[in-house]
Amino acid sequence: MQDILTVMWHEWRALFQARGGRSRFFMVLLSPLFMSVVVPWNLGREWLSSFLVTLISAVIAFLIAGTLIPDAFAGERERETLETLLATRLPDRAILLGKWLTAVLFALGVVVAMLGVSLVVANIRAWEGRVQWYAPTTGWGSLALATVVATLVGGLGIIISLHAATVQQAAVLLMAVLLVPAMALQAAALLMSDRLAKLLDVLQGKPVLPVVIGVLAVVDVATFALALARFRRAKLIAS
Amino acid sequence: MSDVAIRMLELSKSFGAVNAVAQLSLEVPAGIVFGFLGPNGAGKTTTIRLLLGLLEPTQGQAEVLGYDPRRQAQEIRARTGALLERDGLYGQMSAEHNLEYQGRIYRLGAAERQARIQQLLTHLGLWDRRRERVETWSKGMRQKLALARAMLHRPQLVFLDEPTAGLDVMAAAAVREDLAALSAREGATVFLTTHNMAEAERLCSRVAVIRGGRLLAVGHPDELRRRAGGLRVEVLGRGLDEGLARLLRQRPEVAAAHAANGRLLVDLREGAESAPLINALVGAGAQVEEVRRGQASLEDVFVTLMEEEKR
Repeated sequence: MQDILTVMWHEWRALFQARGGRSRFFMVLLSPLFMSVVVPWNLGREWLSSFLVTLISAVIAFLIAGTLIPDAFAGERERETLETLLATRLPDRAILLGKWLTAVLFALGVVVAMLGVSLVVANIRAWEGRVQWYAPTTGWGSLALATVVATLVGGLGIIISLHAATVQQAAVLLMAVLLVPAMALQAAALLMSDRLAKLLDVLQGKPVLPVVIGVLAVVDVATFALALARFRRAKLIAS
Repeated sequence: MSDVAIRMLELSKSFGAVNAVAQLSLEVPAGIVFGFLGPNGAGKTTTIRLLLGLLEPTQGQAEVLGYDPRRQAQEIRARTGALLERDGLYGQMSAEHNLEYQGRIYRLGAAERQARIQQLLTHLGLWDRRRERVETWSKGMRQKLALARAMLHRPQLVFLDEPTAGLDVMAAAAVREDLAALSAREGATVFLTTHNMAEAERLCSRVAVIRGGRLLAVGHPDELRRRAGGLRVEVLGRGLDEGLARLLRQRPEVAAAHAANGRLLVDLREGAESAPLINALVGAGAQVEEVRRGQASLEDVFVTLMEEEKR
């Protein structure tokens, strides 16, 4: 655990202290900030139980984790620090988890901040004499979905970053891996809109979100196992 | 602790058809600065990677501080420090952060970490600049910092892969001085790869010479000088060309001979005299103006070994 925290300590400081780190940080936060003000202002009280909260949380987790994770190993390789890192006593799991958790926790931190700001905005917009909270399924569901999404994006990003030559290459590959299936699904939905409508009717009122979260959690575990299996110091140095 | 820090037995590593390290058998005694000499591409870096367990050998065995790099690489890396081919410093971070990270990796307590960082940076003359980003530093300063990082956790064994490569003369001398002082003070075994013979001569109490991944010679620098003939004769004059060097190489008392910049450099075997040689040169038509005799330097030994290997 101490080793994981050590890697996270370094990653965290590198994120903020590196040249341009703070400005990059604010750029990354711009769209979540926009969404956490504009959308709840328009929806008012409805925001607190809207499925949009869950959806936006997942998108933010996706974007933030996807922005940070390509740097994990490709960045070390590009800056020529990878071999020195691998020559230290840090175990494989600590390096892997330290970098992964940094991206996931940062993404979750942004999601929590977005949820907090939007809660305040929604309450100001539709003040009813007392503070109104998120509906439990919305609040907890959003956090849970954001967690599994950030973990999945982080995991896939780590696997890609392990053997990518540059951060840019890792970022492009990650986006291709994540967006191509999403676009394929959208295309399928358009082509089979009748069947989709029927499916949505069937799913109406069913606990879809927990099932999605459960499936993604299983995929997360598999992704971690795959990342660990692909973490071979000899191959990392050779690639 | 064992008297031997590193033991290699027929250690080999191939990349496809290329033998980077070929049946290397070698022992490095504990507590010394060991020079691992060879030209670029000789297999020095690959050997370090094998010893740190960063690469799997194709065949053969190694033992580092009593551990097998194949199965116990973690134990080895916990007890060693390394300054590899690249300095591996985080350029966008401060010098202090780079050392702090290393200290945390090796689980030094906060107080010990701070004291050690101050001690090393002060010793290397970098303390006042500890908060600057490393990317703004000269290569010499970065190498010093990387050296401090390798030594920070007081490792039993330090791998230094060409620590002065690419530095200007002054910076290289400064790093060499610091390296000598640190290794003497810390008492660690140092495995130093270099192709700089002056560096090896200055720092190492034992050296090995490799080429093409194969061990050519190993011993104390003095021992290698003696083995290479001990006596070097430099002949200056006119008409001293490669043809005459070839002529000399045929003589039994000559270990090596080559022409360079209008002079002949001749390494004699143990006990050989230089006078018959000069007679032979004059007899072959050379105009000898001056003859200098001296002990072969490690560089001479190195050149001789490389020439013998080529033949």
